[in-house]
Amino acid sequence: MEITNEMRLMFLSKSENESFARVTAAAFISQLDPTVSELVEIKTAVSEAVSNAIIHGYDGTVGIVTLEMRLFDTKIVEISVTDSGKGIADIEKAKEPLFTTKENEERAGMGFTVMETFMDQLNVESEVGKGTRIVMKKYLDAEHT
Amino acid sequence: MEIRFSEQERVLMIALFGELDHHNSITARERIDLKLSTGSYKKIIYSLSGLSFMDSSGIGLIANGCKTAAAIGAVVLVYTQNEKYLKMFQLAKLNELCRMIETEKELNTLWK
Repeated sequence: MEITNEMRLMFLSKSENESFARVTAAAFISQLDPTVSELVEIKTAVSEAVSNAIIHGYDGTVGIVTLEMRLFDTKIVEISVTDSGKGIADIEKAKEPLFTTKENEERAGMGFTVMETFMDQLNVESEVGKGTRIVMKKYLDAEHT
Repeated sequence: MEIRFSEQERVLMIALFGELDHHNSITARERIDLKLSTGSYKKIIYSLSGLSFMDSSGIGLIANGCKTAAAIGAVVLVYTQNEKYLKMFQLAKLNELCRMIETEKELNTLWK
């Protein structure tokens, strides 16, 4: 499995950048000729990961969010979203559907569940006080081969 | 994103257009809460057919609308044919809080 292309995008943890990140991800991935369904799933997963970094990682403070994408010759895309925010104390708990630390806000506690459902692999590394890195993989063509 | 409100016989239609993400959901939620607090509605219909993108912020927005609606004694219905949105709603068990309308025919029986 060889890398055919990769990119890195760094931006401030402003919510305006959620759409910037997912649209950029969709544009980069278009070279693999994904289906509309795959594209929607990737955009949604990127939006969830970036929103998590902004809302939970930086929690109102300003920091850098890094979006990295690697394309492989086997039509696999690997996407990582990294922040240097406050980190997640209990990753398993955070991944539970409907779990949220921000009960009265807009989000439903479904971010990780959506990422897991729409992508083929999800890996979360986090250290309290250091930050969080989410790595997701999607196998394109998986649903029509 | 854009929100259009329309009313007929104590039924409120909330039609959403554009992209619904965390960023947009903050003002959307405020506008919808304000609208719900000023009227006497028995039914609230969210129409998502004008959305070009929605992530789990949409679940949060509608779940919040359901809570506000319950407080004023109204029921919430959500109209969408988008299978990704329906999948997210199903994961969040949103169908326990409101009713999903998946066909235009059904929508037309509720909204003239």
